[in-house]
Amino acid sequence: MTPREIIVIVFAVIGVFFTLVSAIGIVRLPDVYARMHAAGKASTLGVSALLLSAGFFFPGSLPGMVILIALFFVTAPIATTAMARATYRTDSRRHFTLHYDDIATLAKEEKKAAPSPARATQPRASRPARARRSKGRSK
Amino acid sequence: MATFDSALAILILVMTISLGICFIRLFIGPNVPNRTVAFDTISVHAVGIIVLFAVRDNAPSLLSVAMVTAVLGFLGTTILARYLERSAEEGWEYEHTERPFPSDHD
Repeated sequence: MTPREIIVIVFAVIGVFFTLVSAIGIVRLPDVYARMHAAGKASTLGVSALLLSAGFFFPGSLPGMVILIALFFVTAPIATTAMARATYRTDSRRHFTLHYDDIATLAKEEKKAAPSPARATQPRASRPARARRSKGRSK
Repeated sequence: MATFDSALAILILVMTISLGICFIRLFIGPNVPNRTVAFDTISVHAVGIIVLFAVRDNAPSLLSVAMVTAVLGFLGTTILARYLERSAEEGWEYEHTERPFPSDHD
């Protein structure tokens, strides 16, 4: 093995190790937020080591790989933040308490500013699709 | 050279096992946020496997495929999260289905 291949294999082993650890954490960890924390390891450390190994194997494409690593380091926190905020708004089951809860404060202020009458008169329980399905099952 | 090829084959095998573990979470995930996290990790795994195949087959043109896969995975995750966030608003479906279902009158 030439030294270049040794460098490539070392970086690929680091990347595959972090990706495997992240996959195990996604199955084993108890909470959605903890699973997002495990997923962040694969999308930053694991994939950047793999892309660096490819960049050392093809030296002409090393700038492209560095740009792709920068893209991953920008997009992975955005995606994780969007997922966490959507989960926090849709699901109220949590295993932790927050001292500073900005989303709850914002929701309270929105409700105080504009209580929309359309949403108050049509509660979510009377969704037509679910009612139709239950009726069909009872026949 | 044979050592390099066999090491890359072992790494691709480990990545495939890791992808299977992610599909376990995608299958048993109790609700949509868990499945969104699993989908994000699966797209990252796809990028890693494509990069390892590019190194093994000595094909640098596969690296642009990895770039496109990375961007599409980010877009898919963000759009799924946006769909989840909009689905929390009550009465959201009534904006587009204003006509009542026929089965509601009997």
